[in-house]
Amino acid sequence: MSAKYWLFGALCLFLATATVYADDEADATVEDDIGDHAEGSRTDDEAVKREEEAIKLDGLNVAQIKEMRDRAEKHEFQAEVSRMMKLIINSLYKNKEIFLRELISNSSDALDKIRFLSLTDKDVLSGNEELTIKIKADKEGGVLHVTDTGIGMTKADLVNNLGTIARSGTSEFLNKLAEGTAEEQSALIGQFGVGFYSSFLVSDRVVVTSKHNEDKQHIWESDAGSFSVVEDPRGDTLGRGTTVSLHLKEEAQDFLEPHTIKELVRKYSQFINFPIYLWTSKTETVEEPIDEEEAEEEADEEKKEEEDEDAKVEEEDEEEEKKPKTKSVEKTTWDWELMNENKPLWTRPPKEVTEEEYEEFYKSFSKDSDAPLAHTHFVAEGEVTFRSILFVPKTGPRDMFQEYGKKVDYIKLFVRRVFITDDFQDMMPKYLSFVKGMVDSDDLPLNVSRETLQQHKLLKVIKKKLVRKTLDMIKKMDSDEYLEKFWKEYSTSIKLGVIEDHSNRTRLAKLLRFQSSNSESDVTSLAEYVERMKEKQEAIFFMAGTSRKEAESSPFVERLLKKGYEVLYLVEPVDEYCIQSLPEFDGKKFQNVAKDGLKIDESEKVKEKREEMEKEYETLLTWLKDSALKDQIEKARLSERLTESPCALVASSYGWSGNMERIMKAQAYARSKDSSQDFYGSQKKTLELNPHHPLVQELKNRVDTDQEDQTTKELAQILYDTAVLRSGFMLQDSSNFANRIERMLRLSMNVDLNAKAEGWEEDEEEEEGDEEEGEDVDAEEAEEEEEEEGDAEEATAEETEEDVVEGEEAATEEVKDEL
Amino acid sequence: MAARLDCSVLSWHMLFVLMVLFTTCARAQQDQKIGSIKFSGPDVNSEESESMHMPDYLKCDACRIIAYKFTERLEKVTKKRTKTLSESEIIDTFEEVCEASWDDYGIKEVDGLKRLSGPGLETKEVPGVMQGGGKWPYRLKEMCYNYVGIEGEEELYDVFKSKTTLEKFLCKESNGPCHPKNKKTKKVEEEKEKEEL
Repeated sequence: MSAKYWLFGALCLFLATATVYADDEADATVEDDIGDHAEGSRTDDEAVKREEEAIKLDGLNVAQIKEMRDRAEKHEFQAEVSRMMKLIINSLYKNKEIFLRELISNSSDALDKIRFLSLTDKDVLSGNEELTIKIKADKEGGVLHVTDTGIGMTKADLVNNLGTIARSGTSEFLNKLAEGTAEEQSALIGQFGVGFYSSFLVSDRVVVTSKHNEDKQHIWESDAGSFSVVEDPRGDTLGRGTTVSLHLKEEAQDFLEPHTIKELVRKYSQFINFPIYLWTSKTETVEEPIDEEEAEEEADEEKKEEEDEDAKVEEEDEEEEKKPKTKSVEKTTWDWELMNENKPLWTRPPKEVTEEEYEEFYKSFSKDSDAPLAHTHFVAEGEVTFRSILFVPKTGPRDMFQEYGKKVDYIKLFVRRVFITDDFQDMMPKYLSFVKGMVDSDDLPLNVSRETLQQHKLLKVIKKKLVRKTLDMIKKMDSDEYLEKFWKEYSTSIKLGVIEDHSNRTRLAKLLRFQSSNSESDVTSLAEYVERMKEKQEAIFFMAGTSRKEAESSPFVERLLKKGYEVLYLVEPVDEYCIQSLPEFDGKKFQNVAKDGLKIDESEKVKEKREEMEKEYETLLTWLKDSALKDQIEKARLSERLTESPCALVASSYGWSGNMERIMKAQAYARSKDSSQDFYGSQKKTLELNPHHPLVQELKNRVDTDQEDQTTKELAQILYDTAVLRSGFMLQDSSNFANRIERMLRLSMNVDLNAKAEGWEEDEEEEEGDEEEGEDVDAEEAEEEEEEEGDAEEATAEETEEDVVEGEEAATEEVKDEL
Repeated sequence: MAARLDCSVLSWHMLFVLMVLFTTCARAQQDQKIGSIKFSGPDVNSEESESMHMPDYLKCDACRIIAYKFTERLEKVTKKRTKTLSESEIIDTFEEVCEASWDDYGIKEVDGLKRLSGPGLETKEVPGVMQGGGKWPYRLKEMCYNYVGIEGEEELYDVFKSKTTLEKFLCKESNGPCHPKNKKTKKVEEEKEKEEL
């Protein structure tokens, strides 16, 4: 009878021997009950009884349970918790088995916490010296117990940790959980620290018994609908720690099978740094004393278990002692079987660790469901010796750049194999914050802190080496995998690194990839670009824009492409910044082709020709600068870079390109009155003209004959406006621009310049106010148009005709632009 | 043209500090050859006032400044000790140099050439006006970290301990900016002529 009892009660194992014997009688009663309803009963009456049985395993009789229940405080789950439990149950039902991983992971965290505290205060372990996780399956009762000797929970902890979510980002988490795939969901709950609730995937009822050093032992119990907390009438049976008892659903009984549990522990929890034991039976032939009775034999077994209980971790030689002169007998023994290796992976020589082990290790400690892209495992020696394993996860944290300013990293710090913290925040620079891994050093004190100068210095050494090793690891990635997986995920991180990390800039620059005119689809490294550079090409050319299409159809690349130069297309907002912070690559400077300073290798003949043309165009260029576009441009000159477009607006070498202007103005956090923004934003640009373009040629002819002609001025203004747009800048005055275009459209389509739009008749009837306003506007427009018309009248009839043609051309240009 | 641009830049960048350095040990003869001492700052072009990076023709000077600072600091740190520096001390030393203010350095016209001036360079002794502040400290800091990053702190420390000077190692070897093959200069006159055009 009592042997059977032992199959049930994991908790009883933690009772002091004396208590066990004292409770024996009561247990017998409870057990009878179980026998009756082992198959589960459906009647209401029995259901009530079943509820009463629910915590029978704690070693109390029905009366005691009833009394305890009456005293228990009833609580409702916080709304978010209820919602989350529903989400977990609905989304992870195909992946139930993760509950065990989550419970073990929680146990491991609790053990980490108490071990950490024990570093400075040995007394915290006095309640229970052991640091283990023990799993016991009670097949008859359908209960699975997971017990740890971790930090435990006070009554308040039980209510707070297992009833509310007080973390920020809860609703965001819930949304993610609702949308994610099964794998993501399973990873998410662990990351968010709500893995405990996955217990309800497999359980009708969950009972948590917990003892914290600062409180009495309490029992938390829930059926997923509400929960109750009560002081444990049995007093302190755990010493310290927590037992989670899962009353498994009918369909989840398989989780009581030892081989299932072993398999799950191997799959998910083999790298837990505390021993995980499973209560298992072994059938073996042993020498049994001849003269003892069967019943006594069982008692003996029981006794042995208790001894195991106490001594298992340290010694096992008790068994030997207990074998007096005997006979050979087939015997089933129960014992705690160690299920994980428990030797930290990083302490093994890298050569002896398999890829699979690294992968499993990563998954286990990062709570990530995907295998990492790369890993590095090394021992650093010197002033501070440490072992480290670093991983590049397949995907970076989703909010990696939303909270870029915040210092977050995923490096766990161990000192002499003891987990210290995963929140050190200064092990990696911001741009590498996506790297996950661990550092274990023997040279740091257990109470390591950034605040202590000497330790701070050692941490600096560690940080420096971690960065170098990380960059090495990334550099050594297979080039295809680097492009397809790493670059896609972390390109922005690398670019930010180029901007922020002065001392590793050269290393990081080698990791950059950009689109280029060299290939429609593939990106190129800077080294490859330099290799392809033309003989007399001095700089690396790049064009920045919002998209590849915009960059490659920009007027600035026309001639370069025609002459066979390769141009990098920078299409991410951070790209231009990134390139600007690189002084050079492989001795080659960078040239933004939309800015001053572009030198294209030309033959002497072409140079001479241009100089000639410059003279021819001098009148036009001066006229543009001093008259037509006075105050709008810095100067006008003939362009080396245009072949098809009539003109373009070039920023000064150190001013803002159109792309940069757009980005800077879009910065949400830009101060409204930022003097540097005003400075760069209002910096005048150079208007470059393409002397081969018919529009420009015609403009030249007109200016040569009459500099005062209003239509010519208009034409120049529109050419300028289109150049502004084409060059990626913003128009200062878009309504005037629209008016000019409309005027041209009217001219080109022979629509009377004075013809007005007629409003809806009904509008006029119904809303007089509107009508008046409308008239006002009309009147203003008419005035403007009259003025313009007046100007037009000044010109000869012949010119007006030409004007129409010009207008058409310009309009076509414009339409092209718009497209 | 360029002159106008420079003026606008000057007015915007109030950071620019004009430092007039009167040096008694004037190299009178040479000065006479070049002309009278100028009491205005050198004319800076847009690269000198705006670029984030050190202009090519000043890289040799900049490199020598950085090598001088490294050496100065290392000498100070190692002065009263027999033991070699530990890793963290080495890292700290170089970081301290790179993070220093660099306020003593700026551009100056010397013998008709654009030069950097400040402690550690012979140009410091030449009378003239040096223009510091602006982007110069940033550029020197950038180059400083670049050397530390490329060569490595410990390697630089090893050079310091060896018979080679850091100046020779960093600046004058075949890939250093002061090596005749790499060295570039900028004549003030040339620039003026270009402006006039």
